[in-house]
Amino acid sequence: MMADPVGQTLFTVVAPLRPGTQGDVRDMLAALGYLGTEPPGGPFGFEEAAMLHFASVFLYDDPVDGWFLVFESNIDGAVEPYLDRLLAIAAARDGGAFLLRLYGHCRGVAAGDLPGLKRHMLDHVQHPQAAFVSAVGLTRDRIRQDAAVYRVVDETLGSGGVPLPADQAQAAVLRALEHDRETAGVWSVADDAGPGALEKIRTVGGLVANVIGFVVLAVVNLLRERTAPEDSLRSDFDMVRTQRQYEDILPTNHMVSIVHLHTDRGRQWAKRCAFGVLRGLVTLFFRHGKLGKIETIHFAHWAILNGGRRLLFVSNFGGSWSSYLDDFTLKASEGLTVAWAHGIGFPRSWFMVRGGAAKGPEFIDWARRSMVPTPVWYKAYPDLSAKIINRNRKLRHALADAKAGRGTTAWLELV
Amino acid sequence: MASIGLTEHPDIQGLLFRGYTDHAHAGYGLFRIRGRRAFQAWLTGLLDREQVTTAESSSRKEVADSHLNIAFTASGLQKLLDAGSIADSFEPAFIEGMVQEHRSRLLGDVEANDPKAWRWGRRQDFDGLLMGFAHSRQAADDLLAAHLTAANGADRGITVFGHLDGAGTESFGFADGISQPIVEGTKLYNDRLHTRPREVALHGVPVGEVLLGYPDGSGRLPRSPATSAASDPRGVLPPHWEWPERRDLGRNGSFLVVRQLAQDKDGFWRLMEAMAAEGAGESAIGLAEKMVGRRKDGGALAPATGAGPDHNNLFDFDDDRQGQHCPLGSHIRRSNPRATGSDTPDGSLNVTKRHRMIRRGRGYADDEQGEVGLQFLCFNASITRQFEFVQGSWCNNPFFHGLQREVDPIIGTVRPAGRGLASIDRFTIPRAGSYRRLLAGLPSFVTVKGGGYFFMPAIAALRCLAAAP
Repeated sequence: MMADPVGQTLFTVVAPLRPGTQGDVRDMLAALGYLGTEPPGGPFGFEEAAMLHFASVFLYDDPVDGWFLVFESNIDGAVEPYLDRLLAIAAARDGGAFLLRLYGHCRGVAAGDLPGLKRHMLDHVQHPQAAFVSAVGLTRDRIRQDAAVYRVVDETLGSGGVPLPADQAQAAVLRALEHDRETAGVWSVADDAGPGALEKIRTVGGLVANVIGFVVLAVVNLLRERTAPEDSLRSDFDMVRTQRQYEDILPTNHMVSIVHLHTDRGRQWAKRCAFGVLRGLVTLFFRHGKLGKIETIHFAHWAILNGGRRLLFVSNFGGSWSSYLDDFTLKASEGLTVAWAHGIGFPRSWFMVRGGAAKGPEFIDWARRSMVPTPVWYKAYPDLSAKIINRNRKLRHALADAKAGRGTTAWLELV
Repeated sequence: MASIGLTEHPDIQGLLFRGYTDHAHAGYGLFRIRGRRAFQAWLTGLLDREQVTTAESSSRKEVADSHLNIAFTASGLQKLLDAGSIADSFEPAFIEGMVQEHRSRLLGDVEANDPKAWRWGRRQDFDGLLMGFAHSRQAADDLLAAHLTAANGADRGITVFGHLDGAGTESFGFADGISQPIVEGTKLYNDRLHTRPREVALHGVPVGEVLLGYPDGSGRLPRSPATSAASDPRGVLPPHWEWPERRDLGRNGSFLVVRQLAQDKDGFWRLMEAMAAEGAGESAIGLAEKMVGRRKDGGALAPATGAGPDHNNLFDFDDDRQGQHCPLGSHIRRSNPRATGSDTPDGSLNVTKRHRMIRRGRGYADDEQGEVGLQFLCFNASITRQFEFVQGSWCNNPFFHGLQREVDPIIGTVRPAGRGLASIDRFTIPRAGSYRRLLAGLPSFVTVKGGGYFFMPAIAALRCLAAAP
């Protein structure tokens, strides 16, 4: 069996609510109890959507455009088959009643019309400006199977009080993998090969063009960048408390940030180029589990919404929020400044690269203030970190080599 | 650096730079402020008689009978400053206190460590902590009793005690307190800069990492609490650097974290013996050393470093990235991963240094409860960035360094399976030339019995608190 050569898709459905319905929607979402995992009998049925890695549903209040219901998904394959699957699950569960009730609060969704709901969702899909995936090319099922490979290895090696010689340990593990219910016959397959030569050439071309645009606009916008008001407010305790009630339930967390952007043409174009640069860098270089020096992110993306006025960032990351923001300010401040410079109130930057996110406390408060709580969040593999997923993939490759009579027993050190 | 040496500075309370090792016994007395005026009068008297030990007074050659230091919670500062208290100028962690639902999850204060079962601090119903250091437990107790009286406006709450055993070992029997940050500008720092540059490279931190009012690792001043100018009519405080119309309440002060940690010494060694018996050629001490990450005598497990105080802290784990000498998940590695992170060794070391703190813990033996353990005290410029980060993102993070299903084997909180997660109760010992030894189904050996967040102000700030209108 070959792995499906599918890419992952990260997107949101951003649907405007009818005025006055936000309270009902909030209550509806808060009552569901999706905090990392799906509660038994949860109405979305995420667990049955085999292509789904992470999903979240949240509300945000835009001072100009009103309330929005946002549905984030990180999936294998394309948007439409996934929406078809979600609606089929909903139809089988309750005839779609829950989804229709939820989306019934959105403008332009007719009661009782599941096909209409699908059209509505497709019409409101927002694709990212730039997106990062840690386990490039690994489907949800592959990630779970790799975890099963690790489990079988772990069980076979036992406590290791008196270790077996390496070759005996390897033989025992390979035998166990062929007999375990979860791994037998399916565990040793190759991954997707990554971008082809043509895609690479296209990406490099786009990257070069965006870098040129970025540099030119960084200079053109410098005066505005250096004189834009900087926001030095402290985080509001109450707001932080509300957000944190959904945090650190699992050792993985979710972050939603919605930033207001400066809307003059110079800075808007600069943002487009900045994300063009990030997109190129991610496609060409950050394909092996690390976004720069950060190795805890599963899926993250930026999208420009509301006609360029808002910048959405959603991230599914390992560890606590404070450690994540610590990574941001101490290890990846340049990249974050590229992404967030020209956000209103952002700590003052130079050329969209220096300063900005490097100003730890100010940036952290600013980021906190831009966040909205995530009442519904689903992770398909709560026990796994991005680093563990990559380790499991390596382990499988090494064991597949061993099965084929190649390689060494050095994989034992991966466990 | 200023002309006055930091470690002899008359404005800084002495405990920051000194462990008072000449005074083997300590009493940590929680109190509430009942009468504000009476309390302020007492504090004024204390300051006038120079009874609060400072860095200056504790640097004198003659050994004092006792030492006294004082720290306050958010409610204590609020009571004393009244209208001049500015909650916004503190970090939320300090204002909310150690016990709060989200914070408990982050710190691992769940399951056996749930604050509901704490002996003190469950409701964070205290305004401050008076710390007395003396030559006997009775003397420490008497010292606190003499000061924390109704006449002085104070209600004495629970007092916990700590002691130093002379050998510098903690309750499991391991040498403790070996690794401390070396604060720039101190005499120690300047000496070691020439004699042991490697040690300074590994452990040197800017003053602002542990003391407010000085640049921190980012090169900027750490955030500092403020009070209104009206609260400081005599102008004893400097203007605040961030809000010029306010006064800097934080300068020369530091945040103090206190946690009482009971240690199941017998259970610990019983299990080590049992697990050693399952292995080939492992000793109970050997397994315990892997969990701690050091030899029992304090020596390093890391390769290429010798034993003894001159050598046992000169490693950075860069030559042991797989943890085959010092396990990745061991206590000392989780609480200070040194040069191993997702950055270059130098970059990782600099990241780690933003999370160092000065530890001032002492052991305790509570005969009534039949309990031994550690009174953990540490100083830092930011509770969130330092103590909470180390405790939450390193020690209690099951995903630390790519690990799985395990937390700090000494101070981490074991958890049963739930919410789609397997139980978190393991410890992995990587081995060279073979595969890992796995200790599974471990219990927690350390249980939290109480704790709180305090601010230990400078002498000038105490003057302000004592005189606030």
